Amino acid sequence: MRKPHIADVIDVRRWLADDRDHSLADRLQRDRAIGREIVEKQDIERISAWWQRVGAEGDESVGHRVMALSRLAVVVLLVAGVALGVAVGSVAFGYEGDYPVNLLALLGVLVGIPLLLLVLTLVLLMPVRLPGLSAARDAVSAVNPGRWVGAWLDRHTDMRLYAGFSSSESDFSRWQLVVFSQWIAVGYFVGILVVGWLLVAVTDLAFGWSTTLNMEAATVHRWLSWAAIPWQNWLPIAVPDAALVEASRFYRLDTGAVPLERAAQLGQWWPFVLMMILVYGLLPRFALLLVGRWRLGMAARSLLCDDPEVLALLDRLAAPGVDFIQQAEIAGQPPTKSVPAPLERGLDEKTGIVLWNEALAEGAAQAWLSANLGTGGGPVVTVGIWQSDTDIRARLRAVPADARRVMVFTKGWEPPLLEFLDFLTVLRECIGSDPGITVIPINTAASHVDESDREIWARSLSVHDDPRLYVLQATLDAGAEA
Amino acid sequence: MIPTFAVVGHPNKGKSSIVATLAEDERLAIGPTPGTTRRAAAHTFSIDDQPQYVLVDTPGFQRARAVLDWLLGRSTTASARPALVAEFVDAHKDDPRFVDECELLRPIVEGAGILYVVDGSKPYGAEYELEMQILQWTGRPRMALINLIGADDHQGEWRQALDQYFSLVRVFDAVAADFDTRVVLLKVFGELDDEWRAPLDRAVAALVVERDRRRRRSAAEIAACLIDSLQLVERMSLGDDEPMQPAQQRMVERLQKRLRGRERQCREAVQGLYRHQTLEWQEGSQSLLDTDLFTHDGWELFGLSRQKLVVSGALTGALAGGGIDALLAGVSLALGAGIGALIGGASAWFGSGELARIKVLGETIGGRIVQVGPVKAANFPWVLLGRAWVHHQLVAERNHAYREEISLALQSDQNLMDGLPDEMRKDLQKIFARLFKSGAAGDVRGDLIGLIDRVLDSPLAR
Repeated sequence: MRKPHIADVIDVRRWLADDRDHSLADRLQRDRAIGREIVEKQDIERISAWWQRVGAEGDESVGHRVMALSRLAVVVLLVAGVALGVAVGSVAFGYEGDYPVNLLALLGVLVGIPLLLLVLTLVLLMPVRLPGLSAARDAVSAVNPGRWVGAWLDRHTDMRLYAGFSSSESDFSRWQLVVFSQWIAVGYFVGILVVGWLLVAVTDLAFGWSTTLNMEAATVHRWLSWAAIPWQNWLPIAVPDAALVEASRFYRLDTGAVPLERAAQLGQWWPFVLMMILVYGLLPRFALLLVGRWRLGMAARSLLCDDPEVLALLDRLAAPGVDFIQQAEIAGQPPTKSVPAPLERGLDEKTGIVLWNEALAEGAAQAWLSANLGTGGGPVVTVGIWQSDTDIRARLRAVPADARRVMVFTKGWEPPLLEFLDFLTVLRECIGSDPGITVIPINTAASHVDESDREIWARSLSVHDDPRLYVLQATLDAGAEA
Repeated sequence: MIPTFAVVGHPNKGKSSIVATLAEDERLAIGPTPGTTRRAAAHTFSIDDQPQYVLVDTPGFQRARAVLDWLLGRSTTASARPALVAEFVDAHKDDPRFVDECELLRPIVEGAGILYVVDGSKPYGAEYELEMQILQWTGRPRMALINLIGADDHQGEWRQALDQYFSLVRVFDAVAADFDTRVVLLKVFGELDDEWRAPLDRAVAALVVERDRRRRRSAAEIAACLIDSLQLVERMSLGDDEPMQPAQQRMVERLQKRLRGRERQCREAVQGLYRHQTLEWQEGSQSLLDTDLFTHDGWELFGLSRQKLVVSGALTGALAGGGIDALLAGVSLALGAGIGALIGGASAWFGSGELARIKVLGETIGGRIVQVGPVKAANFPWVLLGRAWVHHQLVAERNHAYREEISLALQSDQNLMDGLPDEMRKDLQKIFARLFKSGAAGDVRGDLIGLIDRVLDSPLAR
């Protein structure tokens, strides 16, 4: 696809439009994987390499069908041009033997007018922005049948190729129009040359020139010599000399019979006439056709490479895939059951008070109990994870042996860890199986944590299978636990 | 070796949030219940499948004292401590009591750097020292991150403790950290070990480029949405006796539904670019973005004011009229531009009050074919773009650890697009006029993408 065919342009763009149905993540991954395999550097080559890997639908694609249609259109236009040329040539070269074919009229119709149209075409194709030029282009294209056909094609193939036909924005549509019209023109001049040559070959033609103006034969000769400059060195037979020009002037009032010698002399114009048509008619059109095809290829290339979807594709091909690859994570399921709040009411001196990990100062614990549960409880024991099990057991001996319950203050803002459960196991071993153990998660302001935090504690402690383990409710009435 | 960082610490101090933020992965299990993370999970940052660095999310310490007791019981010399930690992991790999400790220590003994995470909004506690001692014994490069989960500030006491165990201590709010903060943190990671600096610099450079690329790709998605939305039509065949009004109403509703669907599709694409796939369901009902596309309030909020619409319409009309003046080589004495400005301004003035001005065509080919659309209301592309701009801003800034619903406070309570710079607004107006006139012909799409990219790069007045 170094020179992309319009089939590729159409197919790639259609494919990319449909591709938007895939998630961007998928497209990024796919295209970057392809991009890393592509060694080509040029955009167009990279697109081509990518296209070979993902799409390339073959001859049945819409693009190929449009291209086949385009080729057919070229043949039709060429044939139409030839037919038109033959028709016009037959009339223009018409010679009944009464008067010679008027060279000035013949060249004016067959060469002059087409040249004028060619110049106009070139002006309209000028890339510069002149006042009114854009509007003139729009006006010309508005009445151009090519625009209607383009719009129809766009609508039926969803190509967005010819949408800019009227707006001077679409290089592609403009040069497509140029190419099509030059095929007609080439056919037209070929038709004229063929019919001209045939008439020269199988009939006798006589050419002359005539004018009402006061014009000398030398002047006409000078003009015609200038016109013949392109071939005068290598085809002198096609350059009229002064005598021929002088002898070819005729007046329609002069009805005298033309001598045989002069009739033959007037026929000597034909190489000049055919060369004029060839050089000033066919060759410029053929040159414009070649330029048009070249520019059409460039337009097709930019139609592809400048398309936002294609630019996005190039970006996906080139942009390094930046990603986090996550190893499968195993998430824990939070416990579904919860440790209940204690049912017993009231505290007494035989209630053990334990401070875990310095959740509160000793005095603050009793004050908290007095404020929230109506009594300060018994002696306070402070333990923490920096102590060994032996130390903890020794300290827990301070808990009254006949305690009905033990209140354990812990930092509510910290999560319940397994080592806290280890401590509860040690505590249970020390106080026996009867006393209840009530855990009080306390917050940084020495007040009870809110219900959601309490619930976290209650659920976390549920894995510690102790039927006499409780977590204090967050909302407390003074003097009551539950 | 690829730089690897084990994110360790007490349970529930935001380790997974930090990983979610840095790895841009909102799917990470983050929960209030301790033990949500049960196994170490590696997140490998790669450029074209080439790993640059690895973040390992780990469970928290559960029995730090028991671990330290084991280590202290076998303590020899300082140089032997790292090997002793490795020995602990090896000796307890099948011990259910130390599952969490083995999971978090394994990547460290295999060579990972340590990112120790604490919550600076909660008071420091002596129990943390056991964890810090264990980490110190590993001998690996380590850094402490003070995460701020709550409102209180205990950074001072934390710093005093952390400075004794860690060579680098940084504050990093995992939930509020923006892109620049994340990039700075990644660069700091490189300071832990000279060999890690180059791959981390590559990662940072790639992230910066990727950020711009995401914005450009978002602009392309939004441009496609705008172009599609301005071309959507609804057609329906009606029998001769079938009344027009109800059918027209149904078609309008169907068109509006398709337009809403197209906008939703665009939002999902943008969210996908920023790896926020599950964002939609998190949007609260009070969110600005939940405002329906076709409400008067929504148009007031996101679109252009009537005054700006008139100015823009007049400008477009003047340009069109100016073309005629040019064609006539100025003989018209700029009458074309003047009349064009009047017509453009007037149509914007009278059309701006309509929610969605919709063209209804009646045809007589084999009965009646009624067509509704495309939307012609001048403010419609502005509203769409305004909504897309706000959505992009929220998505681009949104942290992957952030779990709350999207909320946004705009500085002004109406006409978001009035806040655009004049030049940008004029350029947009020209593009919209071309879109209304001839769809996405020529370079319109490319120009629109470039302009939207500029809009998305502009700060939102908030």
